[in-house]
Amino acid sequence: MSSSMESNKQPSEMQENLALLQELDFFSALPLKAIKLLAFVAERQHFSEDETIFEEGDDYGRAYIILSGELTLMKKSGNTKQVVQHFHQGNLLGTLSLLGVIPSLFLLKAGKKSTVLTISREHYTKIQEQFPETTALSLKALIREVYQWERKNLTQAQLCCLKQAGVTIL
Amino acid sequence: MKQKKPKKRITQISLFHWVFAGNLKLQLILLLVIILIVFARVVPLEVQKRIINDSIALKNFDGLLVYSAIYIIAITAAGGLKLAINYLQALIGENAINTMRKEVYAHILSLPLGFFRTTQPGMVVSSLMTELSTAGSFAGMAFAVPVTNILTLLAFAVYLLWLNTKLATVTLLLYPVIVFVLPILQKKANRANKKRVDLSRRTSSQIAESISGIHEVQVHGAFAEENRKFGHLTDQLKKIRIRWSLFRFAIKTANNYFVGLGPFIIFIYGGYLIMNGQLELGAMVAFLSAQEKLFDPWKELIDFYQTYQDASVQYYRTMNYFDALPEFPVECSSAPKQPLTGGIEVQGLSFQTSDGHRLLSDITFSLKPGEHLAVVGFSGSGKSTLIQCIGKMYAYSQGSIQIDGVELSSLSKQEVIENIGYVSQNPFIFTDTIRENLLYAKRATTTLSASGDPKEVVDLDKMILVLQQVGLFVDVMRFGLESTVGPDDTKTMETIIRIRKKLREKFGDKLKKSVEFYSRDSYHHNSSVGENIIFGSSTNPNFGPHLLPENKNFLLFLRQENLHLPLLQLGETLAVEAVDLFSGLESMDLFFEKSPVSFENIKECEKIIKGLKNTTLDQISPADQTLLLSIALAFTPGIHSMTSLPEKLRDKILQARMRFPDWCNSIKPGLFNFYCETSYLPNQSILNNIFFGKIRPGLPGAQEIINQSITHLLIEEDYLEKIAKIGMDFNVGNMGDKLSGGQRQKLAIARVLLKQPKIILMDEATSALDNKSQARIQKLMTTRWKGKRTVIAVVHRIDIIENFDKIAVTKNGKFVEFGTYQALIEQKGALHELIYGKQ
Repeated sequence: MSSSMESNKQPSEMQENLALLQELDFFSALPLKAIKLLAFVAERQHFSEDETIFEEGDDYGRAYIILSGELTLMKKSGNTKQVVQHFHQGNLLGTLSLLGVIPSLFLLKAGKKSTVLTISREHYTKIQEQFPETTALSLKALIREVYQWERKNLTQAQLCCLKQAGVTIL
Repeated sequence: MKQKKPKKRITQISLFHWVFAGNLKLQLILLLVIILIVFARVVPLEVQKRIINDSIALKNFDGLLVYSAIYIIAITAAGGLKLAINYLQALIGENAINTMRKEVYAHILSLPLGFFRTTQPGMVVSSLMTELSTAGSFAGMAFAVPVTNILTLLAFAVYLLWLNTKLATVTLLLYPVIVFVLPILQKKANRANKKRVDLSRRTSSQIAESISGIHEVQVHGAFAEENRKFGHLTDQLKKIRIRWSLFRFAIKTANNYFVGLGPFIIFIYGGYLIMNGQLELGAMVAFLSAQEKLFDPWKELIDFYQTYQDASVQYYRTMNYFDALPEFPVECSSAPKQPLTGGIEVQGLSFQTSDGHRLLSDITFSLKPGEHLAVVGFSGSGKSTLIQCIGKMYAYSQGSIQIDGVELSSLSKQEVIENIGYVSQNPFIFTDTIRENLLYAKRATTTLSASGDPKEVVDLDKMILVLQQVGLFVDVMRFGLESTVGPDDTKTMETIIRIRKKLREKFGDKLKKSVEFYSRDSYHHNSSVGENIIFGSSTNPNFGPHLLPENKNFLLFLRQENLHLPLLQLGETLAVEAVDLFSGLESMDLFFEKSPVSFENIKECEKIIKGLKNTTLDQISPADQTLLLSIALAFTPGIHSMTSLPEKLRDKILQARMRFPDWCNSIKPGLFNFYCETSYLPNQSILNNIFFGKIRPGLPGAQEIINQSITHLLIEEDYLEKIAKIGMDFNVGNMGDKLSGGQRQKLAIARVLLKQPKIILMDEATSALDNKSQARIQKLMTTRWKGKRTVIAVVHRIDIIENFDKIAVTKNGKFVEFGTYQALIEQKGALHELIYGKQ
């Protein structure tokens, strides 16, 4: 390899993205070339505090990995908005929307000034076209996540809320 | 009163109709030329005989000269006349193909929608472009070829009979034998040809289907399955084509064989007659010559016969396929029209498909003019079919649909087009500009009306208004702002510089975070390395950005600045990354937007990298160096994430930028225009010029601040309309692929709005819109359309139906509920279940 690579000590944005994606369960099982391509097309977005990222009903079609700051998921209730959950650095959300059209049931906004790494459905679909095995692997990862999510919820939920459980037997 | 004979359908017209239709004058001229050529062809035969008998035998030299002169004139004239015949034939043929295509195309467009469910576009293309062209060529030759050749044959035959009746009779007896044998072979060829046409169509349809569904093919990796289907068809096609060719060649060979027997008969029987003093030697030469000449017209006649058979098979196969009646006449009726108010009354409406599937069953409802109805229900419950019946796209099986008390079936298609607007969920956007797409529906109403001028220009203000109403105006403005200004448009350039100054004064601080302004002293991350070195644009095409990597002067400058090798190294790094990412993949435009290495250069880069294992960068070929350098010069750190720009190199580039103007002056003063806040940046977009910089990527929220600031200044300078006009000239790409799904839907709504219909039918027409755009359309419906335009909307998002006057819930093709939103919610029936789920 030539000296240019050696002199270029600073890691590129793509290399940083790759390292991040390889740490996430949803992406880590994908073929290395597919993850590299995702790292290459992933986009960094910056949001100022209180800026809305998507609204209820929007088909946002993106996965978000929080690099810094905090994102807040909210739900409209009449004229007020209730906080559902806060997401912090390293959290991944929106993977379901990579696999198909899904109008959001929530609103997402930046709770603090935030930077995120995002992958669009458009790009993800192209990766699926090039690497057909990705579809099965994504589904596997998704099933695993949904299962873990419900298991966690079941351990934390009170008896009164069990009526709403059961997404894993859909 | 005489009843007017109904006009024959285009698909029922005989192939021979095209021979004379519109070409009568040309055919008469052709006939005249044909008579002349027949004369010019027979003359040399008689002249040959006289040269031998009267001139050579009698040693008459003057006679020889005269006859030779006549001979040469005759064959020259025959040549010239043949050329004229070919030209006239081509002219008639092309006229026929042109008219045939236009009329069949117009007929196909008017066929019922159901017809296209079973017809692949590829099949229509091959019918119009390939199969009809044989029929057109036949129409060109249908008169000329038989007349010319039959007359020539007759003339030769009469001449030969006149020369020697016995020999002529024996020689000409061969032809009836051929006429008996050939049709037998031709029948077999026709059968093969019919099969070939059908198979070609099936193959075209198969190709069209695979290409249309290429996403599914690739996603499911169904390459083998698709190849199998295609392979099976082409194998069959190969077999039938071989069979067809075999019969065609058999016809030609049989013909050649029989005709070849002619000289044999002349030698045997003619020689016998000469020996017995019954024939002159000159006459035998004339016989041999005529026999040889007989072959050409005969061959042409046989070829013509084959072309006729092929053309006939293809023509009638095509016409039979498209021989369907349009469900509704498109032409305007002469009856005076009353403007419609938009009241709709539906009684017992049912719709059944041709295969007996019932999609709508006994639907009854009424809407007053200006009332809005939302149709909700499960998919497959007949929602779309209902509005397609009201839009007169399908003829309903039972019941009645009345618009303003008039049965829909008695309204002409023209009245329907003028008064009813339809927007589908996946609207088709044509490969053209935004403007042309916007005017599409409006133009159609003026073209169809009796006095309509299709070129009628719609007021720009009206177009802007509808674009604003549907929320597409911001996008159109962006397209306008991302365009470039022609080099002669100095007025626009001056205005833009004025706007730039104001923007800095008024919004400079506000936009700092969103826009990377140009500054001579700092590196511009959203511009390429090349732009960063030059910091301007060339006035000489030889110094254009694409040619710079191979410009010897520029390379000298890079070497002087010690940039040449570092840039080659950067190019190599980028090439290595690109090859690692993209090698072995198919072209993906979406990904290459973020790469300084284009898809076309990947293979070349692979070769270079391989070569670099055994050599160094300064030893590779000049062409390879040029490629690596061009990659490095195109590298834009703000966009291309595959590597980062080393700090040292960045500093060197900035130093080179400072010295570049002096170096340019030493080469040739005025070679480059350098970026300066008071001058226009040629080749850069209007937006970049207004900013004197570029928008930083990754700031979704910044777009609104930018739009507001720019719109404010454009209005101040009275330049908004001009930019909108430029934006409307934006080409939307192949079937609108440069537009997002939401933009396509907005454009489809806008094009319907422009014709201001009294009834608007929307089939999930806002499904791809984001919340804001959806809300805008909702507002438009409530504030502008309520009470003025009747709306029936198939709605997928139940949260937006509250403002509709009436709601209908469909299930299995029936209305299970119909009423106001409030009443249906209180009823706690199907609508309640759709919204809140089963209780």
